[in-house]
Amino acid sequence: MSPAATEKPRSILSSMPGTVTIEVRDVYKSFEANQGTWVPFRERLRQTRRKGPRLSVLEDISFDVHQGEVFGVVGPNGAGKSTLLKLIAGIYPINKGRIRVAGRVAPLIELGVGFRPELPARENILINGVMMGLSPAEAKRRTDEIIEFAELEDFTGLRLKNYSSGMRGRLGFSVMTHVNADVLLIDEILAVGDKGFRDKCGDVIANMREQGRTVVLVSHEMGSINRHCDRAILLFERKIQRMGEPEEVANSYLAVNQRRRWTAEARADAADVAEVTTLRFANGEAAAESRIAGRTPIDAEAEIEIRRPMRTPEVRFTILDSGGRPLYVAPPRPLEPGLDRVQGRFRVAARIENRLASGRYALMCRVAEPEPEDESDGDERGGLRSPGRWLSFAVDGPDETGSVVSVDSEIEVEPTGVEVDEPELEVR
Amino acid sequence: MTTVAEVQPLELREITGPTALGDSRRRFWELLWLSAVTDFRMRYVDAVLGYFWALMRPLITFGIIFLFLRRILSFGGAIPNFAPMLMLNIMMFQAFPEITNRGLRALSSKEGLVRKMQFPRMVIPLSSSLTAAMTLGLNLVVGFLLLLAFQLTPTWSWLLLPVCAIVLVILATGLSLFLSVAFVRLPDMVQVWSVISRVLFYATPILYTIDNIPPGVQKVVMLNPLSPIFVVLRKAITDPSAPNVVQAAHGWGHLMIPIVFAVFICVFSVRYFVREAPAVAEAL
Repeated sequence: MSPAATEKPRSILSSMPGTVTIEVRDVYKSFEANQGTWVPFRERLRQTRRKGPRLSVLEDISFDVHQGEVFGVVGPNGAGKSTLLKLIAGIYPINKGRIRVAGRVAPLIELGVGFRPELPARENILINGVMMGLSPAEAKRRTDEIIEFAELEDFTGLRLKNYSSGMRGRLGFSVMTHVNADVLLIDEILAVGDKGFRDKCGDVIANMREQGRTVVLVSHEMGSINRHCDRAILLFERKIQRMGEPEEVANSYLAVNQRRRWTAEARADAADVAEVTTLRFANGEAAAESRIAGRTPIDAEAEIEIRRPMRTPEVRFTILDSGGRPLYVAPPRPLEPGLDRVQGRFRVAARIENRLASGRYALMCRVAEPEPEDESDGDERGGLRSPGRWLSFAVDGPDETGSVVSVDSEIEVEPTGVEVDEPELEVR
Repeated sequence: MTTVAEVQPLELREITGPTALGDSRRRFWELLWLSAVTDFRMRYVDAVLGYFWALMRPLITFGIIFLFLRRILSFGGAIPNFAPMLMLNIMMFQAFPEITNRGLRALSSKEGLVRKMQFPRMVIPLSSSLTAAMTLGLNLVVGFLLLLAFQLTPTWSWLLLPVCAIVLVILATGLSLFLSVAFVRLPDMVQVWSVISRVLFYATPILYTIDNIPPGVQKVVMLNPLSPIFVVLRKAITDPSAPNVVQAAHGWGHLMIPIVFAVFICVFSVRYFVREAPAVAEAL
């Protein structure tokens, strides 16, 4: 991430501790867990009095969000992010604890909820607007603005069922951002829509912040949290694992993702057989800050201890993105070529060319026996292997929005007949 | 960028989860009216032949039943104005299954809305029954014209027609509040309710009159909260010589049973809905 990008415009208000707009205190939420089993007739009709087994979703959640703040909620699937949002929106009742919100809340949990496909855009805007608390007159007054913002001026005659899902999404987003809510709750919707739409969402969030309104942004993608948020929390296993700067939370999220990934893979892991005891960056400053300049090779050092003999062990380096997906798997390097059974300590130095675009990544190192067959389908079963040790780092480079890799490119434009009567057209 | 001074600090308000009625009465009514009118327009105005069917259904039912009872079974010859009575009764009763069946599915058919939006929950079943009530109103206007075509002369007592309609709608709406939540919890409710509403159809003086069934059965029929409505209707419109509702029920004491029952159903249903509404999003 470039230094310019990290300096996002912080709200002047977020530093004012007095103006809390969302206050969440000791909140617990659980759902019924006995789906599918027989429940007595009387019990069934009296949901609220039922005392059955329950599945806990959120435990001991407390935080404050301040006016003018963009607050991120991250976590893996099923961590309770959306449930938390629905609790703040008042869609689900709380089991224990208290949530207080200042002003009107607009939940964007799914775009276009409540739209009636049989009706054209205007009618739908009216219904949705009123549902969000506008008076019918007010909703009608804003209709043109909403249609314009959604860029649907040419499609107002169409029924919504003939809209593409992207168009419907744009309309839903547009309505929600025009209902004058003081608190906007956004759930994952930045992931849908094309780039233009995402940019627009970004603008809306920035505008809300400027106007001193509050935004809660839920995502499992660290990129949008980093880009938009002033602060964030990490939800994992029902609890807040981390709260703070998006950067810190990003780190913790990465850790959580790795842990999850590895617990799933742990069946073959054998820490008692072999272990990567240390892993660090060898580049001077990178070692301290876990920051690597763009295009600068990644120098890493690892120490390996093999406690019980392994069959032709090899060391493997992998670079993962912030979601834990492998981006680059280095060719495995045998520790002792030619030796069949290996035991002992090793020091490994690795230099990996850095073609990563600016962003947050992790370097993982592990020792493993080669796969029995040379079917490298990514599913490493069979041989013994150590648990992976990983190191997260950020690459600072020129901002190459939307890129994963940083490569050179040359694009040349040669005018071959330019029409001059369009003043906007600029050709270099 | 706005300055700090322009931003007014808002008061923190406790979020308690969804409720049946919401916290703004204005929003409740606006939303209810808008959504009922929109549904009504969608169903009858924008659809080809939309309202035509809403009207033809009771009329066709009437035609068939009339043909069957009067011409084939030779029933009803002794009942004054049997044809207009039957027509009116069927038209009126039609609203009852219409409201309750739509109400039954109201919450579950708007699942997305209930699970993803915060708004007063009671709007959903109420708006579906308001739409049905509008249909009934429109049908009764046509019914009124047909009564004139049957060469009946309007009297002041015809004003009881809208009163009866309103009472019927209120009772059906009350039931649909209960049914909408019960269906979410208990999918078998569809079958149960279709049986019950069929029984109610025959246990209401619609095809017959209260005075041409045995006195013992009369008492049973008059336990049904729907029955007094149709007894009043008949006396007010098609047959002033028919027994009044107190006579039909064999005295005030017995008449109180369906009335108390009806009030109980409505009160219980509203309370049930208000209590269960917050949790309904989770059960969907």
